[in-house]
Amino acid sequence: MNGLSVPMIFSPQNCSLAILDKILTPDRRKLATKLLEQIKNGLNTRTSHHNLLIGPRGSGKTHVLTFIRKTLEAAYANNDELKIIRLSEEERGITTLLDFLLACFRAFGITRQEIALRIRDEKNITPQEAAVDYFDEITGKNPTLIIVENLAYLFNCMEESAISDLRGFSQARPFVSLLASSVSLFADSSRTDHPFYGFFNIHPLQQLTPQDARKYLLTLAQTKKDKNLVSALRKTKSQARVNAIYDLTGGNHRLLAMLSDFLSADGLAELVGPFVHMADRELIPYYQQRLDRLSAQQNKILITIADHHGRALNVNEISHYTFLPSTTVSRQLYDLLHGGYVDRKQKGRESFYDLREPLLRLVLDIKDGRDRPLPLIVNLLKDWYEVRELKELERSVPERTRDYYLAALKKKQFFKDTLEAYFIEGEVQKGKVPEESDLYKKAMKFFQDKQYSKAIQGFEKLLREDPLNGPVLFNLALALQLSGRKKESLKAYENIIKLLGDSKELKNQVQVARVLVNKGVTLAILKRPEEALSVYDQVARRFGGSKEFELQVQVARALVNKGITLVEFERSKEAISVCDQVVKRFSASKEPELQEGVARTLLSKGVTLGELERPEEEINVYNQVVKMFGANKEPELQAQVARALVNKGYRLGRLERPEEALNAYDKAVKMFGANKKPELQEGVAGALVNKGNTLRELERLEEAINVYDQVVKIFGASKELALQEGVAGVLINKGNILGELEQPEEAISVYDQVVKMFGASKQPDLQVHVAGALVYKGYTLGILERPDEAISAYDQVVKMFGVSKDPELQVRVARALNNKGFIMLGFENAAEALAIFNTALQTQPDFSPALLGKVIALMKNRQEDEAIDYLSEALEKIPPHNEIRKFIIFKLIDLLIHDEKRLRRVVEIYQEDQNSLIAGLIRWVQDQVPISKEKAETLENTYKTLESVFKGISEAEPALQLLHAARLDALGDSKALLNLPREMRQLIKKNEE
Amino acid sequence: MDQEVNFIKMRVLMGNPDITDAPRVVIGRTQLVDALWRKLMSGSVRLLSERRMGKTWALILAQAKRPEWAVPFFMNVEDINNVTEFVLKLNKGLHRDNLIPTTWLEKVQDWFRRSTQRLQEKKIGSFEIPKLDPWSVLLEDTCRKFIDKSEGRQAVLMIDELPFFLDKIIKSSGPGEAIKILDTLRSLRQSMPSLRMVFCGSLGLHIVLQKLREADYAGRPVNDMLSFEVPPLDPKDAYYLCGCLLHGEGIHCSDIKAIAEATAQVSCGVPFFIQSIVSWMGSQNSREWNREDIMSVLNQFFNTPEGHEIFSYYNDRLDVYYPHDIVDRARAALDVLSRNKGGMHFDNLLNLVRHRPKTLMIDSEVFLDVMNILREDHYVINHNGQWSFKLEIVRQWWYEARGRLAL
Repeated sequence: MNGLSVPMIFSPQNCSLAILDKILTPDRRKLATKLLEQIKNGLNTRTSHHNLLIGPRGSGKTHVLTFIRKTLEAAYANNDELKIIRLSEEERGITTLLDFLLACFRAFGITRQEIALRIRDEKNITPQEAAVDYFDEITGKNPTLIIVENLAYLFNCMEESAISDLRGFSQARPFVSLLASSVSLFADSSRTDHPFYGFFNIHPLQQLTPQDARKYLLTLAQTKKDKNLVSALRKTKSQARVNAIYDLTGGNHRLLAMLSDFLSADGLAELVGPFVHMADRELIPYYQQRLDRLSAQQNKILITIADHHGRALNVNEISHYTFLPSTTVSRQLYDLLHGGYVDRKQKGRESFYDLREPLLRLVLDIKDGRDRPLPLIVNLLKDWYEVRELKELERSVPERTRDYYLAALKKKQFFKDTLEAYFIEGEVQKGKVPEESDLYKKAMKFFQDKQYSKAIQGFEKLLREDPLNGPVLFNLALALQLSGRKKESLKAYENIIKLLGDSKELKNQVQVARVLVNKGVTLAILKRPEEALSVYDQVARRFGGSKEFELQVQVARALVNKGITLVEFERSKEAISVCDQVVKRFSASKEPELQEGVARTLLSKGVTLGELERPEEEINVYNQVVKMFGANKEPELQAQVARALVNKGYRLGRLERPEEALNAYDKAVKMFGANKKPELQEGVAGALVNKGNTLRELERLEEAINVYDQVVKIFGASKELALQEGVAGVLINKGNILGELEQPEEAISVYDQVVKMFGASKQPDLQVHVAGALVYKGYTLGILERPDEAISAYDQVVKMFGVSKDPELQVRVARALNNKGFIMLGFENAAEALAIFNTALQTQPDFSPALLGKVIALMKNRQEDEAIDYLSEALEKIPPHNEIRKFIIFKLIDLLIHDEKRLRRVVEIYQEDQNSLIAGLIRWVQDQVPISKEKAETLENTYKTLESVFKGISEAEPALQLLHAARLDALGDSKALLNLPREMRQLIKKNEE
Repeated sequence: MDQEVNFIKMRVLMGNPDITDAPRVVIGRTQLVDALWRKLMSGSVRLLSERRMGKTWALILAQAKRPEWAVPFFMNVEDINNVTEFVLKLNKGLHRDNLIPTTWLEKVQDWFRRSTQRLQEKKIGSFEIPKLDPWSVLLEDTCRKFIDKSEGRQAVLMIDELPFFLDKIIKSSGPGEAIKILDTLRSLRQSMPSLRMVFCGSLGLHIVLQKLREADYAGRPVNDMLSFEVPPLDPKDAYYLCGCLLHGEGIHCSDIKAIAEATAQVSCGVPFFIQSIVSWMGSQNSREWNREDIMSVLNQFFNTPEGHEIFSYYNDRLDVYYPHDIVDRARAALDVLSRNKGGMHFDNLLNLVRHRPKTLMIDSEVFLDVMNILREDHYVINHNGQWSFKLEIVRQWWYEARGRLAL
């Protein structure tokens, strides 16, 4: 056994006060000091204090209680000021207060004969009453501290009446204090009518952290004067070994102390033999005793959890494996949890259970003789030794334990060394990267084709076969990122960084830098900009001073990304400063990678300046990009130049300098028009589309159409979504221009072209264009007075996109329905129109034209009162100053001109929007001209109606005057109109023309 | 109550009053509103207090009683789902009140359209250069327009249910967006001395800030705002309100003054509870009420569907708004406290909380944090070292619903 001794279980009762004092952990010391002060103060004030320490087995309860007891015994050894009664740790058979007092007497050193004599001799009182009197007698009613361990067990053995008696006994004796411990709360502790509810001050003992555990073990070793162990624990790498045994013991003080001897093992001591031996000799009896206390169901549950090798299980899973009802499992788990056998981890609303002390799993494994090499020991070895040590031990240990070292070696290699080896060793690139493997080729093909989920599956399969494969690991992380599984990719990146983080090898450093840059991107995408910025800063800080080109590239990328992140999260000023930093640092470089970084940065700066409304500076930056990289032949740099020109053109257009804008677009087309690289084609398309739009704004419509045709010709066959959207957009623009040029048939044919080219697309962005084209087509057919065909176009929209949830498509569906509704109104089919408007409003409840349509349809369907009632609701939804408000009132005046009562109601509803009311009235008056003589006569009553309805609304007077004058004019009073202001006369004249 | 008071007839009103009606129907808040305006002279204000205390009614009254130097604008953001909607709704509201020019609203509407639907003639694949102004810029400009229209007076933006809106944003878009909103509003207050803000809401802003802190947000976005508590009604005002409502609802009372006094007492002066209890009394088959009935009315009221809905909110919201690890602890603390009308010392409270297996291991520092969160959330108060429920009526409900059980 290489000189390793088998450690014994630590027992505080057998330790001296000095030793207990030395090895008390800081938090336990704090508690002990507090309780000691309380007890001492109680002596002076003659008050009692009752305390209950709760913690799992081995958490140091007995240590604290013993320390307190021994301290008090030392302090009050020679006087009667304080009496201390310590019940045995394993008191059994206490079921009544009498039993409790008898145990106290025994603990006090009174013989059974004396007790029997004293209690049985009493006449006229019960033995319990006699015992109470005897207790008072022997304590002399002086301050007395009773120390009770396993309180919950004690209470479990007592009837509730006996517990009440105990409470009554304590309550009546202010000189008696109870100091108790327990692994769990006593049953029904939270029941307010429990005799001991609120009686004790409860002190839960918190678990040690791994760092505390190392300090604790060091103190323990110093106390035992174990120089080897002290020296081992002082070494930095000892924390890893402490962690290993901490993981096994779950932080249990007693077990930690028991296993601490292994820490003093020499570098290459064989551990398996002594460990299994220790388990056989010490752990099995220790746990056996504990398991014996559990019910058969509880044992069954523990074994089921142990069978899952460290994977925590939920209640349903345990129920599934044990065939116990889940309610039973829950109840038993509750007891196991509070007995310190299992741990509960909460994930959302679900609880998962694992063994609290993994050593219990080891015991169960050993007992059942299964799963060799025992996984728990393999894990211990993995964390204990370096690879080199494991390799050496694997060669030198006896045959029976060799499997353990081999398994540990494999496990360790999987986690770290092999990955590190890949990045250091060039041979991996040549030998191990499965370039020739079909699976690798397939996975890479999927990756390149952006079929990431298939690529991920491939990479994962490769890793199962060969976990050493570095490129596969990196590509897997990247594929996870690109497929949107960002959190998983983040984890993958973090793992790689963790493994390679401190390496000084250039290849590894480059890899770390690359991974950090990717991590930053992922964080930014996950909208965690501060973390992303901090990662980019980390790259700059760590590798910024390097002269290595590959590292400089990564630094440049990190800084560029930092600038972009700052822009994205609207921290424009900081972004500009970062951009300047990049340009200053790398602009002199001739390396394409660095130049691309500079170009991207400048572009980003330009956009930021635009946002900050500093357009001249923005344009200068774009000019700088063109000047610096215009002659460069690198495609990525050319793409940046194209973008700069397009951005410049756009800004010039906004500054109302269209000719200069057109020049910029032309320049982009001239420079890159012939280039077929996709990244440049997007730039050329952008330039052409913007050029067309600019020409349209300049009303150079024919030229605009030519440019749009050029876009369709060049990019019409493209499969790139962005280019397809551009083509669809320009076609619709072209159709609209043709409509403006009164060439409706041509316009319709262009709209049809959009449907033909993109009608089958499943891309929502393209579907929106298709729906738009159909709506425009219907509208144009309407103008051509071909209502049936128009309806057919609108129906097509509803058929194709009626069930879509895409908001933009819903708007177009509502528009199609609405237009169809108005055609139905034209057909005097008000009922159907009403149904259609209702459908449109179901799709878009606030769609103003349909709200208007519904009011008119109700009116025409002879539901005038409903129409007026609905008007208020409709006006609530129509934005103020929307033209539709004016149009509704215009239509309603027209429809209700002979129904003064209802018209008055309508005007009342419009009171709050007088602008629209008056505008609608003027429009109606305008609509009456030219006025014939016959009509003029009938208008007299109409005028009177309007005068009455609009009475008190001074803003309506001019409109009414206008109507009056126009009527008089029609009747031959040529001066009537001349009396009006010129602007008012103009209103009518324009209409007459 | 000794004084002679004539009750006017008032009906129970569960929604919000109209501004013009507010001076008539909002009882007992005039001095509070005067104090609010005085505070607003010094700076922006956060209205504190639990749900149902009448914060919104107080703000409506504040608008009705606005001083000459202020131009208030009130908006409820509860039904808003994202920040663009927020900006649009603010603009629409300001325009409705003629507090921004039409041209500006049109610009905002155009912006909103463009932000929600890409206009086809502008769509150029990935080369969509016409970049929209960020909403923050638009919000800033909106506030400037509001200030301009206020013509030298103090523009006061009152935002009701802001924390609820932020919580929705956190759930839908993550904490980043909510942080941006808070930071933007703060920077507007900092950069525009003529602008004041009032934040209000039934969900405590501290809960939202706690969630943001969990997302590593270290900012203090409202530390420039003065806090202003809306307390329960003064007993005299609560008595008057009860009397008016009993009178208005035509409830048979053996002695209306005694019944009004008792109702005010059991409802702790909380206007909403007063309205709910009177409303429920009105639904009890025209029986005649006497003072003793009222003192025991709560137990009956708690068990009605309406009472259950009102009060179970105090328990249910813990699951919705509190972090998982705090819920059990908070509930245990409230369970224990509900058993002690007079309040408890922290140590005693902690000890009894540790009597429950689920909360046995709680550390005292952690527990203090829990209590402070409950205090900020108006569940509890700490008076002279004694922790207790803030409102006796809530304590009674909690005790009936949970506190008496051994959970």
